[in-house]
Amino acid sequence: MTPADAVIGALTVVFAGLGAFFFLVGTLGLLRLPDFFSRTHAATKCDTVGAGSLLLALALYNGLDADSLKIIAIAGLVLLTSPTSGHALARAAFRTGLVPWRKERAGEEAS
Amino acid sequence: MRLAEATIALYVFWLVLTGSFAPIDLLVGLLLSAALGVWATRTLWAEDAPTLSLRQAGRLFVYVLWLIKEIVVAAVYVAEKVLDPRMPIEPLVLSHRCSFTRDVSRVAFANSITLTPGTLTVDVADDVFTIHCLAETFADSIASGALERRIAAVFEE
Repeated sequence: MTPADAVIGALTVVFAGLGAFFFLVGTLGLLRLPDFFSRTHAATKCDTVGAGSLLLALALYNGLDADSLKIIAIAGLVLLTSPTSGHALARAAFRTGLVPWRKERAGEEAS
Repeated sequence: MRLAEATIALYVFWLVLTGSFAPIDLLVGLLLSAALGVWATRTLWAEDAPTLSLRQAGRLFVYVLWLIKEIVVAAVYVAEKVLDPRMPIEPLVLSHRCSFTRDVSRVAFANSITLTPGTLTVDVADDVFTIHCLAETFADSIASGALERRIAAVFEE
């Protein structure tokens, strides 16, 4: 194993670990956040970064060839489709009359 | 000319995906790219094609790099809130009127709002954007027009 291989291996581990971490946080957010709209925040942002980070790790591990270009193309696609689908979901919820959660109102209900 | 541009872009994409230079693959790819190009220019982009000049494309590239940085910041921000046991969020909904006329600028603006920290595009009706914020502080860059100016600079609108 050459030093360059070691550096690429280490970077692969770091990016794969970060990807796993952000997917975990996105899932936790989906469970913990109070309403549909704030959950969509967790789903769009954390999943975009999680998927991007994992794909970057795969591309690094694979080395520079046609397959890595494909992986980068997939990452670009995720970057474009993730906010679009998140927006489509939020818009459908908003237009069918789902009222976003507010902190004050939750407080009033408790008192 | 638009048809040629669309076909070339699709053909390059095909070459990346197949990774093959066998004559049959090259031929099938060219035919499919041309067919999709005709559909895209006649139907999909009949009113407003998302074409950019070379200078705009260069600016878009720089903008995308900045956006990727913002997405990482956004994910870290959501992670902070989610992992905090008290979960200190105060969501609110606001409306913002933008001055963009082209569809491509509006799409870029809507997706940028969603990908930047704490904000999510909920609805777009012509030039009025309905935005959900996780906390009021994140509304600033949108309300002040800072994000809008960045996109205006990219698309020269």
